[in-house]
Amino acid sequence: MTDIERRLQQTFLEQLDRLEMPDRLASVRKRAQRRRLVSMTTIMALVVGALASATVLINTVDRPEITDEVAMPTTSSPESDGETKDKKEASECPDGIEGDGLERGEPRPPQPYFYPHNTWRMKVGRDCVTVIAGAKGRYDQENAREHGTYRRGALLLMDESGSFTTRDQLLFAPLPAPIRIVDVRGQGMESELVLQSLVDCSLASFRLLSQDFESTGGDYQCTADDASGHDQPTYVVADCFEPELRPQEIIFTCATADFRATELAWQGWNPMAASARGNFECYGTTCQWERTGTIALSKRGYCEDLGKYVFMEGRVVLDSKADGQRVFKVMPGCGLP
Amino acid sequence: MERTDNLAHLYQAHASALLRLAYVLTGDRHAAEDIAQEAFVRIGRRLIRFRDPEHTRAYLLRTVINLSRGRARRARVERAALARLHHPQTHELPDGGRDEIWAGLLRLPERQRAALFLRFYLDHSEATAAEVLGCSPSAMKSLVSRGLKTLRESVENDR
Repeated sequence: MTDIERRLQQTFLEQLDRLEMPDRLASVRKRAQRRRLVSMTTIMALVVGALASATVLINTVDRPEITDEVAMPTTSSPESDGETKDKKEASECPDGIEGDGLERGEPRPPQPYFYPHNTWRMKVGRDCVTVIAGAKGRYDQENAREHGTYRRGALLLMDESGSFTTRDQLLFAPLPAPIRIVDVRGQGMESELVLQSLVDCSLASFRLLSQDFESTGGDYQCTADDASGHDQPTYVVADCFEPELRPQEIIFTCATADFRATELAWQGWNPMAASARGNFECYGTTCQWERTGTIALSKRGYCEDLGKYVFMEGRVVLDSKADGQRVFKVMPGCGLP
Repeated sequence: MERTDNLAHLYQAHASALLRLAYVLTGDRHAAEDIAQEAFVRIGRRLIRFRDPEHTRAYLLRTVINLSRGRARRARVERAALARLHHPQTHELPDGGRDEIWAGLLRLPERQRAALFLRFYLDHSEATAAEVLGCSPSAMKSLVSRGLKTLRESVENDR
């Protein structure tokens, strides 16, 4: 044993042996019993809630398929349906690269994003929009077809399409921007979906033909409001006070600092969305767990106090359930005043 | 009935060790008592039964470490908030600050402090201590080694 180890042991004995825990057993029993009762009440409430949800699901199972598929992409609050919706999404939206869709260091394709000579077809799923672009003009190299899946304004590239057999072909995909759904016009077979690139404001609309959308061109006018601020980066308030780009840690509950993300590895970060894999931990009075998972930040908003754009919301999806829940909505917002 | 008797038995067997670990991690006697108590509330609430009594002890120690980490985080946020309000709060060492080893220990990161406590106070083996901290034995070895190195340097600098 080294000198420092011996001295440390001695210090531990001097400092700690005099400490004795007071008898708080009665209080421990009372509090444990109270929490057991709360847990049982919560479980009962969850069971009742699940039964009610199941009833609703049974009642809606016969709804027209096409109405459901068109309506979902415009939904702005993905957390409303919680985990059930997340499962649907996992089954219908392929995984991909979230971000600007470009390789590191790759030059951006020429704008406008919705190149007027391109022809587009798209399918609208419950939570995702799959765009199949039959590119012409300068993107007609090697007869490439571009496939992209857009989810909640963030861009995902599909890599399971037969059209993309090599990585080189992906480089021709004109996918430089986050996309937003500007409008859904009309109803049913007459529906028209308008998409807009948030990099250059170019727009494209798609008419519904059978279950596909087809482009009617990219000649819609761009307004100043659409483009304002999109050249400025979007931050996230990671430590409850200071806005940061690509932080390694984010505290979600500023009052207690119980729930936080650590070891974040960002896969994409653009003005409209950001996503990362990381470690999520919750150690507080109501939780005791640590899981890996992903976070997707969204809802860009301007904070007057900070003088910066920040992500107002985030969605954490754990790799496995914690306390019976896999999806969490977080609100980093503008932080504490 | 059996559960509460079991709880009493656990309290008697582990309360002091938990209090001491929490004290090493927080440096605050009152906070340490609250944390140790909370650990027992949690094990009592969840009706957890372990076949091996050593697992019960490891679970309780781990709970204390997690609770102490949570408390430290809240303290950091509070300090940052105070700093923003131009009321910088100095982090004073708790009682025992006169002892240079103790003072150096309280300056170590929490995991290193916990590792040293488990190895040199509770005399846990590397494998057992690693189980409590939720890391591999080699990571445990590294924590202890880095902790001792920093402690040695801290003592030498204080002279």
